[in-house]
Amino acid sequence: MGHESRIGDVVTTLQRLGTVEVSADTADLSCPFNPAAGLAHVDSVMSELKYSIDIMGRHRRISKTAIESFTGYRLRLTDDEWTTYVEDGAENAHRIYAMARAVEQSLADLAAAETRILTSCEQLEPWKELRVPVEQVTAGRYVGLALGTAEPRSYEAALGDAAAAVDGLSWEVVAAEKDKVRLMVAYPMSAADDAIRALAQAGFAKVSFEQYSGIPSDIIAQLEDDLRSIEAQRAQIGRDIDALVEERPRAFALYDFFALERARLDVTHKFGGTERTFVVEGWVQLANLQEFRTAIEQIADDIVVLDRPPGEDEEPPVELENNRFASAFEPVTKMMGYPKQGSLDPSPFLGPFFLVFFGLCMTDAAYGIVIAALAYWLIGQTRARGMGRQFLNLLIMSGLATVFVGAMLGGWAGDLLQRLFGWRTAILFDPMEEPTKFLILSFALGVIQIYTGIILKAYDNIRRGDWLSAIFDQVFWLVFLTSIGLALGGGYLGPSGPAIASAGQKLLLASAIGLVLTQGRHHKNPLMRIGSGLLSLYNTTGYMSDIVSYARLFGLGFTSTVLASVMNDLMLRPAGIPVIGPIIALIGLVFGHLFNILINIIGAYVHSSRLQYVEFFGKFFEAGGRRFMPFGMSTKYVDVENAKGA
Amino acid sequence: MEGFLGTILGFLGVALAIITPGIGSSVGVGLVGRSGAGVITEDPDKFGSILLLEAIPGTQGVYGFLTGLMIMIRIGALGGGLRTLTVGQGILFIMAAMPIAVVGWVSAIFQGRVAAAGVGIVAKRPEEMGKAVILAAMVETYAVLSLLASLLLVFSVNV
Repeated sequence: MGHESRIGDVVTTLQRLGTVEVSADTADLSCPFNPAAGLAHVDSVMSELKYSIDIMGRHRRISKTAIESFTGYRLRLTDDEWTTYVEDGAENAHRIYAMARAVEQSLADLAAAETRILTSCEQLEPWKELRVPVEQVTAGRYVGLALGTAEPRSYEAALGDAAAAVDGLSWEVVAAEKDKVRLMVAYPMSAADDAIRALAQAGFAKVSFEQYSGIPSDIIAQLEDDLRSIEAQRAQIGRDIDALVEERPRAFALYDFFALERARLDVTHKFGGTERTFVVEGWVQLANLQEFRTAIEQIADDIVVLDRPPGEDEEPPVELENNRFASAFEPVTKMMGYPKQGSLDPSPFLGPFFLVFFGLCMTDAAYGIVIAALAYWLIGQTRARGMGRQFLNLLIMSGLATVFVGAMLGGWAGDLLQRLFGWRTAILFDPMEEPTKFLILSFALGVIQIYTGIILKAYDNIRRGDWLSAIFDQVFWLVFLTSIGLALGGGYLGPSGPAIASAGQKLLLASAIGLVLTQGRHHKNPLMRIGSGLLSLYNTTGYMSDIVSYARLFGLGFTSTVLASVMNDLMLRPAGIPVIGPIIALIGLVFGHLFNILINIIGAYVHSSRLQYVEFFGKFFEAGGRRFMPFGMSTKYVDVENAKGA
Repeated sequence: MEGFLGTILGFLGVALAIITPGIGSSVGVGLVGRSGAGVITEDPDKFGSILLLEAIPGTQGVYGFLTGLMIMIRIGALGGGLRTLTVGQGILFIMAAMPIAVVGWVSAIFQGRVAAAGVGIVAKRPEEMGKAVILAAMVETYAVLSLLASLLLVFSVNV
């Protein structure tokens, strides 16, 4: 808390540090600071800038690299550039807005003028042959002149009748078209009314060119000149647009500058206080507390920072903390949602599984090299931070894991090496020859992961001091599941197999009894206890279907292997053609395998994640954590290098 | 003709495996593409995310193609050494193709619907896009399982 005059500095510091999540319900003191006026001003400037940025975008697209068209465009600025750009912010924003408005206005004017000219040309074009200036075609003192159209088939007879009725009425054809004739008629003014009536009866439709003067062909020539000058003006406006677009970086920087200011004003809504003091509450990570305290208390002597641990009834926001290796797996966890405060962060535990699964789904060392190299290159290109960086780190590790798994199963661009040099590359086994081994490997990994999940839950229970739950709910299940396996499969384990199987059966019985007795322990009624205990054995099917679900590893891995081999088969066929054959084969192979990587990488990532979420997390994960969202520098267009110092 | 009937049936198996999942994937990908185009008119920067969603229901077509290819390899349709199949073998190949032919077809359409709904997530909350992908991927499980069944069956036919 502190004196009201320090609010601005405090908020700026909070934003710069980016380590505090400001809570909305600060004490019970109503907020005495009304940022509405400031907000309105910032909003209006931002909407001007948004308009200008949109105009720029409409006329000159940002030239994006292929990566940026996927990740979105960000402008990178150094500290100095940023400072220069945001100087005199509001003024520059207004200036840019005026430029954008002017460009839009003149473009609209030009478009309107162009339409006008084109319409006129269309009107006058058929009258090109008329050699009389149009302004002279009017009712004179003695003779009336008029231009008009009539029916081509009947006009001669009809006008003949009219001429018979009105003495001195005559006409001349200006242009005859298929469905219309264009005429100029003359009549004596003494009988003007009769003549007009007779002409109307003859089907003569008057056309007037009051807005023009001169003979039509001259007018058209003039209009065409105008059209050319419009093109010239358009080129001029093109230069204006170029000038406007040169301001784009500044507009981006300014937009973000005001967006940050807006965020600062917005956050003061959450402040409480009295007439002269303010108070604000928020969450800060313990590790950042000291830095925060120093920075805030540096502002002035009259500011106090008080800290306390979260209260019993409070639900603090959640942030995941891991070492550099395990933090790469945080994006996987975060996609599912944040774990509940105080529960286990699954990121480090899912890591090894995720990597192996990803590797199995790709099953190719060469593909792994491509993926890892691509991710490494992207880190350099995008200079991604935070989540994006973690994700790319994950991709690098997944790529390396793929190299390992691929080498084990002998996939080097499919069976290319075997086809070319007859090398048998598989260290463990070749999935093409022994697909069932692959399937069993998948199930085995599934069993391992599910056991790990149950053990983690047991660990979590023990951590909380709940030994009974750990034994009843996890140890019993582990024994039960293991003994099912032994009872069913023990017989195949060599000479002592039958003994193992029968031991398994006894164990199975014992653990089943244990489960029946303990799984219903939350019921008071003993009958209900036993009933619910019996029912719990049904969960076995859940574990079975979980394990079957790991067959997808085989499905995806096998798909990728077979497809790679098919690519090799197809693309190597033209290799026999002299000279160009090998070139065609090489290009075909590169494209074929890239295609295979592309369609498999999505599946590999998604299904490796899914196995974590549904099969693994289901055993121990407690969802429902609220994400820790510190108040900080979040920008839309611009990344400032060393943003914290900006 | 009689001696050839088995081979004809084998070809029918290939055709089934490739045709129906292909139909399903076309429908699914088409659904996502249509709703995705709407989002791209508003915000072209979302092209990458939309493309990813659109690709998801396309895998069934690949699975079907893969099953078809495996049958082709088994009956020697690739490489010119076409084997003569008995009628029984031909029918076995058709049956082997059935899981992916039917499940691939249906699941691609449903997956397309889920992914098309996920386009809404990309439009309104782009940061939650991963969840849209996972939702669509839940449908994929059954296509993968049927692919697995089909492939194992194709391998099990003695030719």
